[in-house]
Amino acid sequence: MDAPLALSIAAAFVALLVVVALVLRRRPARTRERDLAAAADDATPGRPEAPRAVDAELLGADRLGTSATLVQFSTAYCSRCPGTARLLRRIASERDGVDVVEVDVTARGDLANRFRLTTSPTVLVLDADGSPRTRFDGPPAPIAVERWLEAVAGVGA
Amino acid sequence: MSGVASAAGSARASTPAGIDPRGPRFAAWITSGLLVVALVLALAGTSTAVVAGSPTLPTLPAAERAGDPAFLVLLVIAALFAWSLVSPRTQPWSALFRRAVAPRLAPPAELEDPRPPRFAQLVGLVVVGAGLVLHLAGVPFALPIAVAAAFAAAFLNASIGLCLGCKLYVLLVRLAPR
Repeated sequence: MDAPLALSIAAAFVALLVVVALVLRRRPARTRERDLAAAADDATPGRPEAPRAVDAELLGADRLGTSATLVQFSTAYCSRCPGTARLLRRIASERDGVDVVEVDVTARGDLANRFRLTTSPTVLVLDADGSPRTRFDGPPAPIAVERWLEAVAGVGA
Repeated sequence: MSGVASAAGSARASTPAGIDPRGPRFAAWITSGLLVVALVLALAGTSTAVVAGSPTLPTLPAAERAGDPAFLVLLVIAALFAWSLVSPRTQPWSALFRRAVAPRLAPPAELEDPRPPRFAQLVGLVVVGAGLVLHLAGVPFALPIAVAAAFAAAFLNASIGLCLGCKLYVLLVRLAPR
């Protein structure tokens, strides 16, 4: 094809990508936060029930937190995972009874399937019994994690 | 007492030193610019040439296919991807960022694992490489399609930091249970 047409098609394609970028930016790889208890209340036949309590052994950890547990599922190639892990550790260190368990699911496909992981990191907040109360698909905002710890275990900094 | 329990297998024994995350984004901008040039050339070149409803690329000798300006530009782009895989620090955009751009910026708030951006370079090399091979084999339209795909990934990475390689990796983990 001739040059003007080539330029026009290329320009249109770039414009399309700009729109896509703007749209995707509006929900900035929006970390999806799900209240799992609320989802369970809505449970109708065929919809998933409240997730079963998680035990430490499943995750390969010695124990869970006495007040709450922050679980992070990471993969080997995950640029946002180290930062999220640091964040969770900082938040946990400021509170009693909150443990952090980080699991590299690269070697744990069973966990990736059980929890239907779609992105990394994925962060769960477990209560004292090990029941998942909320789930973040993507890096969580610090305030959101703190709010959930407050609600789940009444632990403030 | 709060504590930290590290699950078995989560310790990354040899985590490489972190890099300024703005470096790969800078490289992605430059790559995007080169790919736009390649896209225009590919659309205007032998890959899309059609005469009387038939693409003419298959009728050209391999030397002519390889001589298409878009092919040559894409070859350079592929070489740059390969360079960043083989020797990330000496790669031109990486060196340019360190010498000319980074000193003008505030130190990075956080460092990132260099492995995901490297994986993205590999994905780029595979996509661009496929376009080059198909074009050389005489497949019409392969060049602009490959360039468009590579551009989309590079541009989204540069502009909004979307890392398709990371997502691909998680998907692969789930599809290959161990």
